[in-house]
Amino acid sequence: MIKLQGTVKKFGDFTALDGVDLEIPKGTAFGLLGSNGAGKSTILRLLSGIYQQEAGEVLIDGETVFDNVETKQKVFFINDETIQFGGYTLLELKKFYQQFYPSFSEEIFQKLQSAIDLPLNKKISKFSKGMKRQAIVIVGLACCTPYLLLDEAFDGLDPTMRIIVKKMIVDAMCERELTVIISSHNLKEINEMCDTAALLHKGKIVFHRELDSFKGSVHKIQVVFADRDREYTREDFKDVPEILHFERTQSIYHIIAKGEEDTIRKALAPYDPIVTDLIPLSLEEIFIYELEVLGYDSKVFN
Amino acid sequence: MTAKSSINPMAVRNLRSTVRENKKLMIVICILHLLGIPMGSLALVIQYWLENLQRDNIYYSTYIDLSGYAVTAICCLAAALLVGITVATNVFQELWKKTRVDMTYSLPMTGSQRFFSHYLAGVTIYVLPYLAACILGWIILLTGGLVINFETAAARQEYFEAILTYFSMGSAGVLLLMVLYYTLTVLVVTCCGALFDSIYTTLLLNGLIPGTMAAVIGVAASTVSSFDFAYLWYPIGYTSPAGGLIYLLFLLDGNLLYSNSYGAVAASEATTHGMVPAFLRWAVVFALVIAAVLVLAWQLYKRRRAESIGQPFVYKMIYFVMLILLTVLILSLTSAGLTGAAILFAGIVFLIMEVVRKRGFRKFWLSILSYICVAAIVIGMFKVVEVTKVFGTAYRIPPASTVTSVKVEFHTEDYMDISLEYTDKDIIRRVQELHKDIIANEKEYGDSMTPVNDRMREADCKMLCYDYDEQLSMESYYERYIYHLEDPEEMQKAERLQYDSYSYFTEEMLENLTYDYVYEKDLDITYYTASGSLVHRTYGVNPDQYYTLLDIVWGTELYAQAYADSFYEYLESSNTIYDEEKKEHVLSLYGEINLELGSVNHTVYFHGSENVLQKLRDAYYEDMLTIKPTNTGGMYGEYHNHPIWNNCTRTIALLEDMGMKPFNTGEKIGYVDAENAMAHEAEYFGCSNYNSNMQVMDICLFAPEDIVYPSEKGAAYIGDEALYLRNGADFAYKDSYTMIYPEISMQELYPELYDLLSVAVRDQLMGDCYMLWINGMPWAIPQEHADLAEAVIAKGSGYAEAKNEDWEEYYNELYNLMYGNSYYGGYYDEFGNASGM
Repeated sequence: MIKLQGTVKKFGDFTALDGVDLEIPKGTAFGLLGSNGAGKSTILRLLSGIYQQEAGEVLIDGETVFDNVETKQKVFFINDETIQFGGYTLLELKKFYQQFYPSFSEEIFQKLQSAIDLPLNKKISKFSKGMKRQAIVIVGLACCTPYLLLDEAFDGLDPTMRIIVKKMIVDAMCERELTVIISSHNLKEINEMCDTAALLHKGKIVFHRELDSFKGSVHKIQVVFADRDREYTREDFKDVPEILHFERTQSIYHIIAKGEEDTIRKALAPYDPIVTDLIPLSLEEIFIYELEVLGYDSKVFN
Repeated sequence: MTAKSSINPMAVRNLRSTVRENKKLMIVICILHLLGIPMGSLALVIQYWLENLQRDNIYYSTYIDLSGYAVTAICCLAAALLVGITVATNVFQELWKKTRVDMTYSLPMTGSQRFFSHYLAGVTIYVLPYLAACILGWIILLTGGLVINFETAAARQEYFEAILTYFSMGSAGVLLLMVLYYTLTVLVVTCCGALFDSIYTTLLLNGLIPGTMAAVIGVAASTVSSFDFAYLWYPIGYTSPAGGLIYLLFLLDGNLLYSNSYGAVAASEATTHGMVPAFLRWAVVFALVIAAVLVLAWQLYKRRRAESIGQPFVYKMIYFVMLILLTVLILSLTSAGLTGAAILFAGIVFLIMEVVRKRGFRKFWLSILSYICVAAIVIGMFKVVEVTKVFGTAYRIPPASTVTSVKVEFHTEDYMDISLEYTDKDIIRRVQELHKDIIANEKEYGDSMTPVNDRMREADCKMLCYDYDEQLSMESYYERYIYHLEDPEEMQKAERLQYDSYSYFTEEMLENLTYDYVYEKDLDITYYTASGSLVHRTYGVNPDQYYTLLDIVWGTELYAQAYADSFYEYLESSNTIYDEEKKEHVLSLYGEINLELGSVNHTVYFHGSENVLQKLRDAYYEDMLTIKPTNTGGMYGEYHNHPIWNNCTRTIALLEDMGMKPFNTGEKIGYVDAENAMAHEAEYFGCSNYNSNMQVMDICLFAPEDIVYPSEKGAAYIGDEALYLRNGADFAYKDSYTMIYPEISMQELYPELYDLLSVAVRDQLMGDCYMLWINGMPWAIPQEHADLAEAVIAKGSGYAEAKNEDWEEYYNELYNLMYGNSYYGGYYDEFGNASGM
């Protein structure tokens, strides 16, 4: 299990993580969501022992990570760059990591490599961006570490390749209780792969929930009331559990609100709606509206 | 697998993979090293081989210039050494290359494992090819030693000894220099976060560490002229690769010794402690310095955060150290009187460095303020050093109880100039008393010259001090004590100290000189203490103090022995010849001793063996034990800077037994001796020893009116230097004839000169003589041959150039001309007299 407790990480005057508490159970696929600079990559680097926290704890299976060889052997970190592997061939890269991870599985490597059919003796710098990403994912999975950390790991993959890579990861999760932490801006992927996700903003956890609980919990409501002359405000709908967004376009009100469909409908009923259209929000939309509440809003640009 | 057992393999694996990653760089280094030591060794062996081949066959004329290979070897070796900076930056890429951070830091290793595996990988890449090259060099040199046909067995042994000492010490020394250079670079790379800053900081620091130390020592030395700071140079040799390299060169290469203060220290080390112990001491200290730098780098690496990459200086300490060293270095120019320029220049450099570090002009005013503070502190410190006479150390004398030995070193060209280390407690005490007197004198008069004191006046003499500049036009090299004595006898006593300088001045000149100050001579005093430390001082001493010192050391067994041994070495070295049959140098059965009597070389021939020389050595030793400055009895003669005083009775008796005659003013030097000397020379050298096929004669002819005779001598004598032949400031000469010979005989080329040479004698030069100066040797033309001399003068300058394949013929012809051919087929008796001619 991964546990961050009151973790603080600073870069000079900038606080990247400000007392983050997080628990990730073993065998789960965990998504890290957040705005740019929210601290997602910092969490991954703390978990892989690259960074050392200023305060709090970063534990994997109850052990600290930084400068701890045994713990670090349980983690494989794939960051958002591939340039560092340019000088290697896939075979050399395999040999390189093989010597550091005793659990490295030649069998898995062969299986994955033959499935994708990447050239073994060609310099990785000569690979396309997608191929580079595949190469490191193959090596990462072959290391058979209990924890796999992926930072924007699906960048540059074409849709087919995304499916293949995702399948590889999902298979590994099924086969050996792999814990995967994925940091990505692509919420669709998180939505597809992860059971749990946390949203970070400015070094703090905004929410940390199972993704299933998101589904149907936030709705986009388009509603037209009978009294078209009346100007309704957010405050008029106090019975709606939590309104994230409220906007009027002519006689149509656009509301983003948390809560069950029935609850919302009941809350709107007293205002005599003529048309009520409730659509469950995608994860991406939830992400946008949650951050909007925190002031991270594209309208700022306007 | 236990946790612990998995740690080391990780580091080893990382080391292996780091080496593998840098294999291209390693191949380049290997190539450079192959072109370095092995090629240099090969060139050396071939050169030796050819030289010996040439020796065995005098007609062997093939000449191959291998200097190009040697230069290439040195350049390649230098390049291979300098590439250490590339190695360090390559193996520690995670410290400056952002893309390498995640990959490297996330590997399952601790910071220490990562550091040492990378460090050792760098050492492997950098040093392993060097070691391989050294081994290859060894093999080549040792094989060469077996293959070369050396002149003698001793020469072969000398060759192997040279390899064992110089090559092994040199290669081990360079190894240490490489490791420090590499470790220092690792330290810098650890302290910096960008490649640019790492490189320029490494380069600057490598120069600044020894440079600034030297500058600070220079400032201290310039403030207290009587204090010698040579031993403060030690840290330079121990703290930087460049300083270490210079120290090593001075330690190993005798030709470089004493060329400057730094060399003198290394030389002193080598001569005092022996080269090998001195080297080992240096190596141990140097290794400790490397260890210290390594530990510092390791600790900083461990504490360094991965995210700090990209900053110019992760640890700003190194930047400030560099900045301050640079500022101090430039501001040290203030001691050379360039205060304004130094402050301005240092300011510009300081501010440029700040702009580079800050990557712009942010808070520029703060940089200006910093510079003002730093400059004020540095200049203030220089002032404190000056005012306190280097914190009082200039006047410190170690307590006698702690001193185990004292070394006194003269820096004169006098007879007494022999440096020895005395352990006798009484001598140590007396030297310390003298030392106190010197310090008191210095405190009283500062850097100015010592006035003539009462004690000097009591000695019935006036000390003369010559202003160096005023003397330039007359004798630019004159800087010795001059005694002007009213009593001629006392004058003679004064001459015993500096007898030869007297002859540079006419009576009239001496009469007009009266001075109240004395010129000082340099003296080094070095105390070695029980704790192993040493205190070294250099002072200018006046004649009074100089005499006191001579009185302390003269007559001691150590001094007498050293002088007698040196005397013997000269006797032996100048009386050995090369035995073609035995293929080695042997002591000549017919030896000669050229003893300088007054200004005339007197040659004593002896027939005998080493035993003769040994007897002379023993006699000289016994004499020197009894000689004190006050009882020399005056100068009898000189043998290669070894004085033979009139009171050296045993030595003189032996020499006179061998045919030596004391020289008296006005006495004619025997013709036979001069002739024999030259004849012997002709036989000794033999024509076949010359490689050149060209001989050059420079001939000057002086008319009688061009020759000036010092009135006090009454006559000029022909000596090798013929110093009397001076007319005012310039040499007097009538005409010059340069003859480059031969092919055409001189008789054909210049018959008038041929005739003149036929009558030239190596003899007393009287007032009406003409004089010929041939290749720096004076020859007299008696007045009865004035017509021949006038004929040459009338004809004027002669110049001829001709080549000859067989110059030997001319060489003999020339000697026939000069000496007649009576020596052919002749033999010498045991006293060198010609017989059987």
